[in-house]
Amino acid sequence: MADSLLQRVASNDPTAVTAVLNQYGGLVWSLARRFSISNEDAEDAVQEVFLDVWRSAERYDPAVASEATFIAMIARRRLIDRARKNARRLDAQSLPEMGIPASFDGKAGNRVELADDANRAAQLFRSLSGEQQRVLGLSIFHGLSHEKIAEATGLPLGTVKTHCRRGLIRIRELVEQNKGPVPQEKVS
Amino acid sequence: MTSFGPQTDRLFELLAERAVQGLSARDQAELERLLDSHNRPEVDDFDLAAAALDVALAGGSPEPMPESVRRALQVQGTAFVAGRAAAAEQAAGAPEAVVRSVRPAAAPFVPGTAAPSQSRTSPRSSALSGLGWLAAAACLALAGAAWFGPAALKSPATPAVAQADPAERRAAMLASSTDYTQWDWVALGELENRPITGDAVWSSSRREGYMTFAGLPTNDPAREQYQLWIFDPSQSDKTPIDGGVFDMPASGATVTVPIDPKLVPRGPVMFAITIEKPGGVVVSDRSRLVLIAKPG
Repeated sequence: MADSLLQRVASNDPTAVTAVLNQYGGLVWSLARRFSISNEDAEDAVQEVFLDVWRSAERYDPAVASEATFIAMIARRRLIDRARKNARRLDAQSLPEMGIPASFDGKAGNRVELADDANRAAQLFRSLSGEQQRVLGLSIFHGLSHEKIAEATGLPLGTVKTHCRRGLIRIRELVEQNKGPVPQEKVS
Repeated sequence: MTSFGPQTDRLFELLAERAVQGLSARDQAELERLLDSHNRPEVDDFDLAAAALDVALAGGSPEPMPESVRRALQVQGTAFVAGRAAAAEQAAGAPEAVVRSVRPAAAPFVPGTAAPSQSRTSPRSSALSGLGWLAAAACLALAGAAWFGPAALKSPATPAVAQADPAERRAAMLASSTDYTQWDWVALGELENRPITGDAVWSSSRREGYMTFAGLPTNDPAREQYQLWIFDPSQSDKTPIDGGVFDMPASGATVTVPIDPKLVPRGPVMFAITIEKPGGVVVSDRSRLVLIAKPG
């Protein structure tokens, strides 16, 4: 089996850098734009994210996650850290305009080819109640804090936390049940 | 997945919270204690679950990354893996084979040196060339910058232009441009008493600039490199634009270095040079600020 792009980065193949940027640059940029207050902030963020990606490439295991999910995990960690440091989390006042992204029509994976782990996550997401979906979507996709979600939805803080925790546990378990080499996907 | 036992709820709560919004220092410490008590099981699972759902919610149609950002990341990434390879090669004690494999086509010249061919063709024959893989890595990264940088976008003839001597290109720019800034270097910190002269010139209309140096000490790129920072109205003073890393050869002559900004400056208000680890840094702590160039 050929090395993954990240495995090639880990072995210091400079051509893999270009390939990773071509394939996952849009994914990271979209995440950064969502977590950032300006293009300039997003540009700084993606520099930090990809530095983390190059550094962490040797930790990538294709049997555990797809490259897209692994890179998204690294990006989210860095972006969440930046958001906490800069106190730049989104304001709950903009919540009425927020929902599950229009691109997610309950059939994620149909429009474009996603990795198995993302498809499994989407499958689980669709099985959740509307309230759970909203909480998880606001938390994961929109980056709102538990407190902001509770404030905006009127749900008790403990319920918000429980929805997040249980949702992630179920996704994790579902992914675990199907763990195996994860097909790579083209995301950008 | 490991079974955690009776403390599962709190452990999972912290792992889930970290995955979606991060943890305070106090909660992070509590998480560390809980993980220690559970022999540190795999802790990426919640983060991967959140990332997988995020990718799914995004729907696989991400917003394209701006080309200028992608080019800057490519230069940085290439320099990073090349620097890491250099370190590995040096540790293994066999750098020459790798130098041969990357040197000729990818690095037609060593940008920023007055005598590029020496360090390119005899990689172990001088103080500079003794850098081995790292010198080749710098060539590769800087050649990439020359190829993909803003100047390259302006003219399809760039590959030929890029191979011209930087001093000649600087002279051509000054002769054909009227809007450029030109500021002399002032030595600071550990180089304050050195007889360093030279300047930084930048043309905003051409998006092109050069630095000249005489008397700037030769560096050992295996240990440290010079890094340029461009202070620009488009960026906070805390996060100036990364102008790229460069090395000083042992020639003693005046050296001309093309400015290689990772983002295109709007109109620089100051240039600064720090000494950093090989490959440079994303954010400098400025503890080794050695040169600045600014108006009057």
